[in-house]
Amino acid sequence: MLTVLVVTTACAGGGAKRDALVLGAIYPTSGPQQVGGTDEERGVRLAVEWANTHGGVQGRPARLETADVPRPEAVPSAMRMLRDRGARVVVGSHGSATSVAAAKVAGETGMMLWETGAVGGATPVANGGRSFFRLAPMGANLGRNAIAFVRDELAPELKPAASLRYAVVYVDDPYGRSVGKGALDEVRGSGQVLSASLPYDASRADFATIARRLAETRTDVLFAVSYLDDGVALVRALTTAKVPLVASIGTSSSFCHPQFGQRLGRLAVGMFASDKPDQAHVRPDALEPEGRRTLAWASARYQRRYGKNMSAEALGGFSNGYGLLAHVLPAATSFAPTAVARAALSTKLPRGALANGGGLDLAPPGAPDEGENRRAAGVIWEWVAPGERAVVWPALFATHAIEPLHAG
Amino acid sequence: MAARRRRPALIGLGLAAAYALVCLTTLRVTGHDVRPLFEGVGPSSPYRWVNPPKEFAPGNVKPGASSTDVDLLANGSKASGLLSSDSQLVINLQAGAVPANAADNRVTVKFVPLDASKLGRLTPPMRPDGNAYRVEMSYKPSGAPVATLTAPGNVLVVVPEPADTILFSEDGRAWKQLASRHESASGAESAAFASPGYYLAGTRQPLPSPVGTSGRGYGTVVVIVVVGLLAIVLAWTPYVRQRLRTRRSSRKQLQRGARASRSQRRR
Repeated sequence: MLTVLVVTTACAGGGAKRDALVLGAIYPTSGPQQVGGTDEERGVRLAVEWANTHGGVQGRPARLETADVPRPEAVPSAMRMLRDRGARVVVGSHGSATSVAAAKVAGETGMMLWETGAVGGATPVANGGRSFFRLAPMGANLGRNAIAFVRDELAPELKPAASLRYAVVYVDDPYGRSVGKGALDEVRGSGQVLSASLPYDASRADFATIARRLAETRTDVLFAVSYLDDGVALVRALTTAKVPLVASIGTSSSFCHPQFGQRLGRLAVGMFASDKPDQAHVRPDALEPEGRRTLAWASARYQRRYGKNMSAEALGGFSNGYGLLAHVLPAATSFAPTAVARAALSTKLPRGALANGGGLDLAPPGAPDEGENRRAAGVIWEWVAPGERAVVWPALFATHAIEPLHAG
Repeated sequence: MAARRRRPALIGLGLAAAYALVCLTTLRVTGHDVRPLFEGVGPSSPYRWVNPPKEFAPGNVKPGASSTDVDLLANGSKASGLLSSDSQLVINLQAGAVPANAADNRVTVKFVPLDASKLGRLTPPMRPDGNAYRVEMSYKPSGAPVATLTAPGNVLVVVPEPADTILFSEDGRAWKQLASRHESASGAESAAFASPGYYLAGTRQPLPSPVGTSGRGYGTVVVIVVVGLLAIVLAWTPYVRQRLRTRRSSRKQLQRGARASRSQRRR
């Protein structure tokens, strides 16, 4: 009888396929966000490969089940398909709107979303610290960083800091609202003057009107949360209207994007962006030995496989996937989402332990930033010449000195 | 044969022209320097459903019917790119695609977004992917319907989930699959547009099983039940054996007692 029991139990977990730890992955690998989504998924694949070439996860090989989610509406089917294939922990998702939808489904279906790239606001609906963790910088922090950088680093070099007037222009979606809110809170909270807060619809915005409004409100510092096309259109409208800004700073999806510099050329020089670092701009000497080692491992493989450096998205996918596979899952008592969440909350890594310069310190449920990584890697970029950008802040990661805007 | 060989090139040229046309149309319609239909790093606008799934019902903006007029010249209709009101269906027509018709000087193209679940059923595993659209074309001012085109145009359908094909129906009941192409950059699906009628994107991706009822979920439940039953049986085994032993020994005792009393009686 005992033999029967043992055999039956063994059969329940048997089979070569069931031996592998199945991780789900949802990224937009087609559609408007396919470039960044594909890079981020490639980074996660490298992290899985790293785990499998270093003994697996608790002795089990890891396997990635992927689903293409070109838009948020594709998320529910994709998440449930991944669940049907045995994935309870899912990495994703590059886009903020996709992240919001995936976090919601994860919370409702007993799954977990490990967000490797999207910065926009999923927290209020996401069951943060339980079924949702964000390893990328929280959008609000990107906004706060941007304003703090201008106030503390740039303003003293421009004119009396107290007289600067700040405007926040943001695309009215989860990404824009999240980053924009962080910036607005920082402006108000640190006693700066807010000249305007202008949300816009990316598909209908009239940037000439926005530029006029910025001129009328005598804005000195513009903080823009936009995507590539609208970010470029906004800068062109500001140039046409000759708005006398002393500093312009944007975020991940536009101002620091390589195409932003290519399309704007000289117009982009002197502009800043608050974002994640990419491989070419991470200073290995600023990393912990573990971060340095994994950065060298991943960048060599990525270069060999794809013939290019890791973009910010690829590096984020690798670093944040690595945090899960190399530190959190090995510490989990089981691979059920609740056990993985407990392990995630108790795993702490110093800044620089991950290849992108970040660390791991996830905020627990109930905290205002529940589920967010308090040691996420965030930097300030500057376009220092036409088509050329450099990290200028924080000092530890800086590869170039800060150069105030041409109009300064 | 030569005509057949030239066909792909012509279709390619047609698509390129269509792209340029729709870009121009988009620029004219939206009035700003953005090409939202075909590229961009930002996300797509939220899909607008006629009948949204419950996850996307909050905030859904239901699309309505719309119509656009195209100039009709002596050699037929002008080249044009046409958008439904929700921008989720695009039709590109080559110059002369709609033949001239007596005294008519325009062609009205009407888009009607519809709930696909209320039209003819697709053959499983195919299922609707987003709204269906009825495309009506009529001459103006006569009102005569346009039945077919002299040259095929192209139809581009924006889809909520990755699609496998575009389907066409004359009456909204019987569907046939069109040779479709996935537009990777936009995530949309495109096919040739040969006549007015019903257009719908379809996907073979199965509808997700409800949580906990997938095949693997049932398998796990069965295993748990079997293991549980075996455990109960194992736990009861010593007790049952004990009882059997007790019963057997008491029966033996009874038999021994009976034998003893019989021998006493004989004595």
